[in-house]
Amino acid sequence: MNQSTDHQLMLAVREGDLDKLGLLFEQYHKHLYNFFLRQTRNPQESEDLVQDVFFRMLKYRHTYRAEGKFTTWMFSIAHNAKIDFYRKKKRRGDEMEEIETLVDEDRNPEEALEQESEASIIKKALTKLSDDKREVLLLSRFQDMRYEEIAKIMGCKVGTIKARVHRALKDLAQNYFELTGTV
Amino acid sequence: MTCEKLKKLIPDYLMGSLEPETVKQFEEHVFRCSGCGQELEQLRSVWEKLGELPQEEPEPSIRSRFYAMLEQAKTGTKAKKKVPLTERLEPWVMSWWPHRPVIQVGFAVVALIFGLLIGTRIQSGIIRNGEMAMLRQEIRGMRQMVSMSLLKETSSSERIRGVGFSTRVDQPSEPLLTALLNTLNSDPNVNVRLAAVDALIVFSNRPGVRDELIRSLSRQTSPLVQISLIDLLVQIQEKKSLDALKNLIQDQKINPVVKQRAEKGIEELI
Repeated sequence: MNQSTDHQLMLAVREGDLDKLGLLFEQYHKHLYNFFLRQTRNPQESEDLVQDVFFRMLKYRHTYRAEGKFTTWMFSIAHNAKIDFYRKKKRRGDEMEEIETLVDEDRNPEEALEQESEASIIKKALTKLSDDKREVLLLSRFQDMRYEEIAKIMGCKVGTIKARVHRALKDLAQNYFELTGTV
Repeated sequence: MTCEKLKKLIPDYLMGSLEPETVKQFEEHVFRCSGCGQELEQLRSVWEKLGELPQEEPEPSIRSRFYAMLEQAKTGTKAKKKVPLTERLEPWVMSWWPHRPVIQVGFAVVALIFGLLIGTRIQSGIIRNGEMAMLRQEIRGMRQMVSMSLLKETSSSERIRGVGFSTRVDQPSEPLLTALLNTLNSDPNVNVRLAAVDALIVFSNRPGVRDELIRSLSRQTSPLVQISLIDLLVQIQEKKSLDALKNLIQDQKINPVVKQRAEKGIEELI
């Protein structure tokens, strides 16, 4: 589905044809699920967040603008949903999971690594990034987003995002090579 | 181009968003500067590995949750946001708790009989296997009854509830399966039909269900249900559905998104 179809569908939802949101859900829920899963590493929380994004899309459908781009709007909502989610979680007293705990300290690192796939190492390396860096990297790599769109989503200047993507990629490489022991 | 400038451009180069002229300068520099070349290779390998991360699948229940919310929004009732973690149990309990007093009382009676039976058996010694099986049978029967009864409700959200309930019946009876298939084929509400698709994934190994699902594909008119059925048939790797998918593509009136999905499905099944 291309951007203009998404845009037309969301405009229809805004005008009250709520069933059209179903088509957008079919198209995007897996993208969103993976976007959240790669950040939270928690399937249940990621599903809750996807549900929350579509709930907000319904609730705030009147704010969708005719000159907007659908995915930018959807990921802005996703960005805010995630921030609110962690804020509430913190308020409830749950500490955000310590990233270090994800690396199993008890096992011999070399032995552990042999059993791990490339994918799990890169996921682990991703977890070690800060929230902001991880998010810009996911948006640029998986959603093919340009700096201008990411800047809109995260409410930052284009220059900031550009520098952040660069920094994030360097950090990811550093984490990755540290985990594989090839630094 | 200086080394410093080049390094800043690496992400843009990997994304393919540089102008052809800049790409040329970039590559010329990398060719003769080993330091930059090394950094580019490192970042490129990580960038590619990141792109190869497989997409993971959410639980099928993500769909029914969404469509239940959409249904609520459409009927004008205030859609309730699911609260994660601590309060997650509450919606779960609510999702199986029937609204009709008759069924509620039925539940209570079964629970009472169950308790009494266990009580008397414990007093008199051991519960024999046969009796335990009989009790299980009774509970299964009760669940089926609740599910069937909800499927006949006039409110669509109650029917969605009934569909959801059916997935909790292990080994459902033929009448329940037939009722679910009827819901899939003829329920007036799209969202109820979608929920039925999700429920039938669970029972796709029962004899006859797969054939009915394939047959249903030609009967559906809603693009949403068509997409969801195609996804299901691909998920269970039902090769017999290839003909039905091909027929669907031939249809002149078909929605372009559905057509696209059916073509993708055929590719995945072959």
